[in-house]
Amino acid sequence: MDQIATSTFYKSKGDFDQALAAVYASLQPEEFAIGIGFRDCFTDNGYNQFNSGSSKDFVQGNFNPTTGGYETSIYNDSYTGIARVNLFLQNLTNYKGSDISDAQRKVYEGEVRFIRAFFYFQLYSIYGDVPLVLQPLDLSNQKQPKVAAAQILTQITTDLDYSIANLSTNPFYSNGGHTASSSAKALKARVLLFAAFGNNGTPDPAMLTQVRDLCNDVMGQYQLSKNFEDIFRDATQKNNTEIIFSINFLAPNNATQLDMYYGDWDACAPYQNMVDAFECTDGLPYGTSPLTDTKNQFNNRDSRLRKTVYADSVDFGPGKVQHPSNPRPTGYGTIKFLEPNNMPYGFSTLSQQDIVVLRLGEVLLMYAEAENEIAGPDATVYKAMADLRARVSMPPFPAGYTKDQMRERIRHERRIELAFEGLRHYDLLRWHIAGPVLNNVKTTLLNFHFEDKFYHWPLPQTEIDKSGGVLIQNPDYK
Amino acid sequence: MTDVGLDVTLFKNFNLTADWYNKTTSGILRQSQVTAVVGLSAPTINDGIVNNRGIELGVTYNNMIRDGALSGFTYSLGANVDHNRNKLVQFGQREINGYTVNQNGQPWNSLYMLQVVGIFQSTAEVASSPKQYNDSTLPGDLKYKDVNGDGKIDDNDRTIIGGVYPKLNYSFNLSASFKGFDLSALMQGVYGIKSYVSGWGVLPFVQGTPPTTDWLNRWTPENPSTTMPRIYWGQGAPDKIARPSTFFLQDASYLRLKNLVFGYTIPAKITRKAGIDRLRVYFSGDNLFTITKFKGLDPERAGSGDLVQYPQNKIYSFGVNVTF
Repeated sequence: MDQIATSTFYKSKGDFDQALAAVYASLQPEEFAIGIGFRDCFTDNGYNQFNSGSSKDFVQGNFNPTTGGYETSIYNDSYTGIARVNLFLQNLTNYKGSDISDAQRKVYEGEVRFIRAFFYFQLYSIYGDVPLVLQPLDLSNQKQPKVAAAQILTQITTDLDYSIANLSTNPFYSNGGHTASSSAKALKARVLLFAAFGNNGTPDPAMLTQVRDLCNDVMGQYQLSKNFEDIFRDATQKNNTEIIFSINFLAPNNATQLDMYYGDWDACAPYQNMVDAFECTDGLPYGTSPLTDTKNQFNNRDSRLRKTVYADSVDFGPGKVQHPSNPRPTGYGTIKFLEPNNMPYGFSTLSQQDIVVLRLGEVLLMYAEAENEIAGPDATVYKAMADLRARVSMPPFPAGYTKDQMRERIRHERRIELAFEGLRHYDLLRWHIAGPVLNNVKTTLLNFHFEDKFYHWPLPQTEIDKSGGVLIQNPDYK
Repeated sequence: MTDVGLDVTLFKNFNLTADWYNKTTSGILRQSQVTAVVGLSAPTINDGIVNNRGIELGVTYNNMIRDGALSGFTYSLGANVDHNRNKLVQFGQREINGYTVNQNGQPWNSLYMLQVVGIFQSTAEVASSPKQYNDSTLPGDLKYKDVNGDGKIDDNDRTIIGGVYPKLNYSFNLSASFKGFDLSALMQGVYGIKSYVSGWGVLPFVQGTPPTTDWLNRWTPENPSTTMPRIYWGQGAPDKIARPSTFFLQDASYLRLKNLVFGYTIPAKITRKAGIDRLRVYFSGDNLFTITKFKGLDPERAGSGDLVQYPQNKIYSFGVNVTF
């Protein structure tokens, strides 16, 4: 008798606040939260020796409808979140109490539709054609067919437009952990930036213009965090002016194993090619720059290298050193999300760092990318990138770039700035360079093998089986 | 449940028991299979039918020799064997869980994996065999069977392998007594069961665990083994050696001397002089020896997954029974 029966719930605003918390909680499964580094292990950024999410299988091309891992959990957990949103909305519509004002109703609806859009974007960007579910389902109508991806995209933008119009104009950092209108704008920009590149990598200017304008709005409300690492550390996240949306945790009841996974198990091990991608302090590539130090490769480098990657052990200074208990298959680990005060990391470590989903750094990059495609590398593009790089004391891009040159710099900058924040796969897919990039990764750990059909993942075979013929598999995976 | 049995005593010394049974359990309490789009936990319902069918046989013989030098020697011998077949009559949609599968018509949690048919001995052999996943297969790697005949090895070549349950459970017991000596022994065995063991203690160097000595015979160009493949490192071992396959499936059949008791009761006329009614000394042993092919520690604790399940102990005890 530890759960509330539906018949006695949804009777007051307090009940709806609790239900709202449950909707936010649906964002917490590993693949959306502490596993964002593992999402980058599906790419050329890192290696997960435990095959979390079946990342090793994916990267080697041994990927099919029964592989499991994130292929199953992204599908299942997205629909769990969507179902919570649908139930919340249905109950909200049926609720006639006066303790929820009309204005509050709109805010509630805006918040949950943001979350529904987040999940449909996961489904859209990874599987493509999926069922569109906007009402709670039960055993009688559980067999749902899929719809065209374009319909899913329309639903995502419709939901986000509602959120943009009805959520608070406060920035996220003053909104008590609730999504704000600017959060929805930033997510919409991310969604459109993916959709803009369509099926072959050539961008759609109309969508990019929307992206640019949304980013401009958001950029006015947020400021870059003075220190890069403050974005990811618990004590400095609460009022951080850069965070536009985060998934929040709180020890001891809602804590994670983030520090243990990344700091003790080395579950997210950056490849050498990822480490090599960080520039030297003069802005030139490692190897080309005269500052290249092959004896100590962390010397004279973009400070984001040592704030993202550790070599062999986690070292925050005297008394704060952790030697991971697992082997370091690439020699490196990810330090970006680790909390120095939680050492030593182990099974009893309760990590409460919030997972940053949207931040100003990404918005600046989205702005620059969109504006560059529309109007070429103008002053605003240069300024956005200069501001982002100045935060880590890196020099601005040299003047006189062509659109193509700026595009390459921006793409590279995204890889560095957003490393292990779960966006590399998204980038490789939308730029349609996944094949050339992944098939050229050189590592002794495994053989990368990417086929074009992997631009979309198969629907889990268990779902095809349970639907009794109603849900049809992606034709590339028959 | 239907049971047809027979209990017979023949020639005063033989007892024979035979049972044939057929048990169908329906309305099993389980989580229903619900599609993920519903987004909620599946309700617990009564659904599903499982059938267990089998035979149990038992024979005992006891006798006492009444004349001759061995007069007074009593003994009895017994043997039991049973065979059970388990089948999911109605389960619903097939569910694969790693290296097991639940599907209609098959035993519960049947083993489901690739079949290993040998070890590649040369690059020519690799080139002329079906391509295995996207591995860079080398001589010395495991060779899988192309079950569906499509010319490549992938997850569709996984099949159900028998042996998740034993074919036979059997035991022998004997007891004898003669002039104050008594002996009893119980041997127990299981035949036809397989155990899947991988990970620590099987895959070399997983988290620092040393390899077992059978890896000394691993395949190398100088030692073209046909039984042990090339060795790879630990947790990061490539899928071509680590993926579930019959290479990790071991025969866990065993016959074990479960219990042996040997005792001697000092004749009453001697002990009564000390006021003792009965004095018996005995030796008792448990799990004294095991005949098995299982490479792990204890086939009875084989379980599944990890080789190093803590084994049962061999116990030797000596004792004295005194009755005043």
